[in-house]
Amino acid sequence: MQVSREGKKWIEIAAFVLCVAGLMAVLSGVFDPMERGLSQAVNERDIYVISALGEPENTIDTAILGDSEALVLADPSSLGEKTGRNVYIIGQSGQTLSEAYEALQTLSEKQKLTLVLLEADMLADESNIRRDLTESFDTAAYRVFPVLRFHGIWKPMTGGKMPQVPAHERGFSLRTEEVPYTGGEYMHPTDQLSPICITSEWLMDRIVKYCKEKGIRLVMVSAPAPLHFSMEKHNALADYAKKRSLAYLDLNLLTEEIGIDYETDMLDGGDHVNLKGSEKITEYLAGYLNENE
Amino acid sequence: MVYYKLVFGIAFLPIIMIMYQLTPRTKRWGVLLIANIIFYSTFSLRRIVYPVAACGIAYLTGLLLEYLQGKKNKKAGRIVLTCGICALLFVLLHVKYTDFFFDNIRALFHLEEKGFFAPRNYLLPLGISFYTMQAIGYLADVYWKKTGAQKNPARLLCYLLFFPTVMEGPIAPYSQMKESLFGGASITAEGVMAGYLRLGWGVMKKLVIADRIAPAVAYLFDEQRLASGFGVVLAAVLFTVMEYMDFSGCMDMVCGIASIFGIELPENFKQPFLAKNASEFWRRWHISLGVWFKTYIFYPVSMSSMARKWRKFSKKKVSAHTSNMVLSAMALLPVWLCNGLWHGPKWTYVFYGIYYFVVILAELCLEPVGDAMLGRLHLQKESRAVAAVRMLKTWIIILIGELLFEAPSLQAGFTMLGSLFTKSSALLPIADGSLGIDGRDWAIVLAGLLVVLVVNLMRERGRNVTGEILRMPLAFRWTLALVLVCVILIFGLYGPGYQEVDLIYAGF
Repeated sequence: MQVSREGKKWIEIAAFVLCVAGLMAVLSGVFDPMERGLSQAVNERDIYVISALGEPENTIDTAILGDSEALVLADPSSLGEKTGRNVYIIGQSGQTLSEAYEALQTLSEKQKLTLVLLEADMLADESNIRRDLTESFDTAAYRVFPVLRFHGIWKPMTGGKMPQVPAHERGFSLRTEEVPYTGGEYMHPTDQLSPICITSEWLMDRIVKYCKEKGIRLVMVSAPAPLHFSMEKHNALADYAKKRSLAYLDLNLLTEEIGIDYETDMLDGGDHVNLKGSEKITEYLAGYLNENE
Repeated sequence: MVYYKLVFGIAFLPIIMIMYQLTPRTKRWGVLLIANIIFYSTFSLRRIVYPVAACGIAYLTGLLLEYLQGKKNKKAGRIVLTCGICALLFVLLHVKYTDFFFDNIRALFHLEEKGFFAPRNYLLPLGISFYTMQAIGYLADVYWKKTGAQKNPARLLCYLLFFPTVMEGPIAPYSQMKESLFGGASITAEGVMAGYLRLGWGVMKKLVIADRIAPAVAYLFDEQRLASGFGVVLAAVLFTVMEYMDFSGCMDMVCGIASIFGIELPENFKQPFLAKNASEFWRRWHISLGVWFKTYIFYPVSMSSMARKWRKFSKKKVSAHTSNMVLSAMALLPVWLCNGLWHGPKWTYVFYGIYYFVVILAELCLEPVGDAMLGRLHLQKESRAVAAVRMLKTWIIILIGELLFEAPSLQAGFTMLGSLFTKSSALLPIADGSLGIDGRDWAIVLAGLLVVLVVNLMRERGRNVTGEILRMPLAFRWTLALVLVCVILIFGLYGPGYQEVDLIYAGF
């Protein structure tokens, strides 16, 4: 069979695309931070997830997922001591649901997880189809070709300075700053539900399905965040959890029980808790987990 | 979704290409229209109403102009054209300049406390400065009978919203684009190779060079710690390089993408730093903007009744050189005021326009003096030594212009310029990362610039670099293409953890 000149060129393009895919696979091996011993050289957002991947196999059974709220939510070591679990926070500043799913999948390949606490901010935050789809695409591409995610380590690989990474203890950021929240009551009773984007719901459903398949117990948690949390968000998340038969722990409604003092336990005026707040939440969570084992 | 995003290059563009190719030739523009709408809506679906409105105005005005031409009613035609242009400009001025105008009114009459016309903080619709100019150009061309009015509003929308050009141009005339845009040429393998090669080249310029310099530029132009002495020179050089790599990189991406669909766009850059004077620089830098101003402002003003009157009046009263100078000034002033303002509602931009007006006028004035001096020194104007000096002079003009353009305010710009001479020039710690980029970044930037320089010199000699690469033996062209892919993959600033740097001209 004779192939036309144009046909040959299309074959060349197809061959080149395959070649690029092969090159990316090779580069992904070269730029593997774990293999190169450069797990501390990845970008700041990924440091907690990568650190968790560096733990010995089957030593983590509980993961806390979520955005910056999750990074300060509870002290994993203390929570572990109180519950007999091995806890690690695999959060990222501004973590998206696609990233949470990807982190969960990657960690599950090495660890036998039995419990996941998911800080539900990612689901309740304003999102849109465009953002969700683009981020899912990017996250999937990073998973297939990790060079797209870790190419930045070329500097330390060539003898450059290691970037300064934030101090953390099993993914937990020890933040002692105190900026009180002074805005007063924020959980005003209402039946209204804040909207959840359909793509965000779909992305969350993937996590729920994955946990079910792997026999992981999934608990949704909302950290005290008077600056951006509301009863509408609570209602939406509670509704979502109820429909999927998930446990949902909204700490915004339990601040008195936990003993959160907005004068002393806030890191930045009401967006995140500080170390004092985390200690109280750790205590509460330990009790909750022990009771609901 | 921008042109250098992964999702654009390996998902959006290939899907559009397949859909385009599978559609009958006469309907392929429809696929491009759908692509335009999807692309635009990835920024904001709501604000698509602005280009649709501009299209509506241009469409109706164009039809009316053609109707009046048939009736040979010139006066009514002129009124309709003026109304159409005013309507298009009204939207642009309202959205882009209202806050600027009232901010100045408030400041001038000390009305801040009275809350007089509080800022509206409009979010600019993507590409408003570009599609408005294309729409005005279309109307003028219909009026001048350079092209017929488009009978199908969807086709006109396809032209105004064309996804490769809607973000940063080039501002392509309708008469130049319509045939290839609506012709439905088939996608060829060679077109795809050439298009993706140019797209990759543009991505390299943007992600590897421009974005790598961005932290240093932000540091040096920070209002809290304005650069001084050597830092001012560095700031001007780095911003100029960054702006060129960002904008010309985007143009490479845009031209590459359009060429895949068989659409040849006008080139926006032609080795601008090889220019020997400011006028030539503007014939090589943002060419489509310069051509637009020349066609739709400079020529009409030069041919206006006022210009004719001046010619008649000055014939016997002043020398021909002086007469031409006044005429040039008359036509250049609105061109450069509009050029400055086009970039945005800031006094630095207005001054940037005036700066080039003065510089170009001064060059025109002094040209005979310069020629006479060269004659006395027995030097050829085109000799290498003279060309080098003229190029150096042009660089200084460009750098001063760019410094004032990027400065946080006009006052800050002049403070920076002044500090160049008044404060002692201290070498900044360039290589230790104090500027936000370290020694390795500098190495990447310099290597990248060297490659760009070589390619630009080849282009200056009339060589078609993309064509030459595609004609190379398979092993060579694959090696070059794979090296380009590797450079982008490894040294590009993208992915998680990197602060994305927006395309500079998409904000204008």
